[in-house]
Amino acid sequence: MDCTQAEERLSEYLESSLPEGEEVLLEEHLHGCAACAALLGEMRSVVAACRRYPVLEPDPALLERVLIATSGRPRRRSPGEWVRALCRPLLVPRLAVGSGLAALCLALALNLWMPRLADSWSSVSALGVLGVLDRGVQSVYSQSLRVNDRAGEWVAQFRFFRDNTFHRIRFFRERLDTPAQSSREPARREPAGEPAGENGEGRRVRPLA
Amino acid sequence: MADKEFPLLSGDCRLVERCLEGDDDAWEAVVNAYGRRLYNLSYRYVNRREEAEDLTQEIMVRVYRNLGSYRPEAGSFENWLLRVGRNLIIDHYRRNRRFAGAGGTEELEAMNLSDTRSPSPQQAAERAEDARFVRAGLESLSPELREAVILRDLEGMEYREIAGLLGVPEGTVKSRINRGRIELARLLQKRRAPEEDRV
Repeated sequence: MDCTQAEERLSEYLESSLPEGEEVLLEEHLHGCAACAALLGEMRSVVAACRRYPVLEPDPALLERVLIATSGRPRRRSPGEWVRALCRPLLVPRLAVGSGLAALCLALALNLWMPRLADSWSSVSALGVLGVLDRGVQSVYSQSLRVNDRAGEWVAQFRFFRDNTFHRIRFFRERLDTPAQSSREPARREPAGEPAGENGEGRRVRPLA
Repeated sequence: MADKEFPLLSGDCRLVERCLEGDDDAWEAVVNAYGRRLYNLSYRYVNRREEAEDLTQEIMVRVYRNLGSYRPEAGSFENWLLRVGRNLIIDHYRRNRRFAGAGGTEELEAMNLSDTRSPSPQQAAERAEDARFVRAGLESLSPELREAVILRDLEGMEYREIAGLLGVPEGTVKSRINRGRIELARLLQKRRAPEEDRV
């Protein structure tokens, strides 16, 4: 058996499907031919590598697309898939770095605040809390009283202004309604016992004959 | 190999009947069970994630429309579905007659190596390296040799099945697979030679 004939049978030899006679001849050739023996070794590696070829996970969106393109109904997600979908943005490097930086800033801010908080919390007592509450209630009450007084003042000022304005308007209207003559000449006094007539003239008393 | 990685669906006939009755849950079960396998099959041919996704969707649409033509007496639903998928992929592949370039490292990085059962990071790295080699090697093969090797060594099909699918005699299939493996083996030899020279 020469090298060409041996090469033609390498796959079948690997899969143990060669007839027995040909298998013996091939093995004899392989013992004497280093090149063919090396080729067989590499072929074995290739077949093993092909059979170990990894399996790709399709994007879940692909299955979603397939369902919408066929039955028209979107895919039902399991609770785990919902959680993974919600956490997926955190797995994006840019967002993960941003989240990390935000967490770091928050931690630094808390670090600045926490000692003060701890100091103030250590001095807290029941009487102190009651005192603070009492002062708070009193402060709210006094503030409300002050606001009430201020509101009363505003209302009183408004009423004074309103009454004063109406009074002045009424006064001027009365002045305008009065005749101009009477305003310039003094009113003539009628003699006593002679009442004024209807036209304004005094009724004369006829002398007795 | 493939059967171990992709669990089979039991009660396929009943499932198909439910799909034909308009049961969307049954169809969703079919998509969940076979979507990954069809996607991987597509990806091994086209080596591009987007193109593999489009192909997978096209296959599933065709399967959905032709569910009524499935006959249980002619074989299992899984075989029928994969045959539909392979026919469509091979049509697509022959129509385009091209492979993706050497790019696509993001797909290789995205490969799910977590289920490879590698006990150590070193073995995981070796497996990733093997995957890159297989991918690059398949790209260097002619279309006939490439599809024969994919169907036999990556998909684990029998010679007879491959012959039926490709429409060529079984002897031709054996010859193509042998030549494809030899070319890949020589490629591996060339790749190892510079490393040995350096050592």
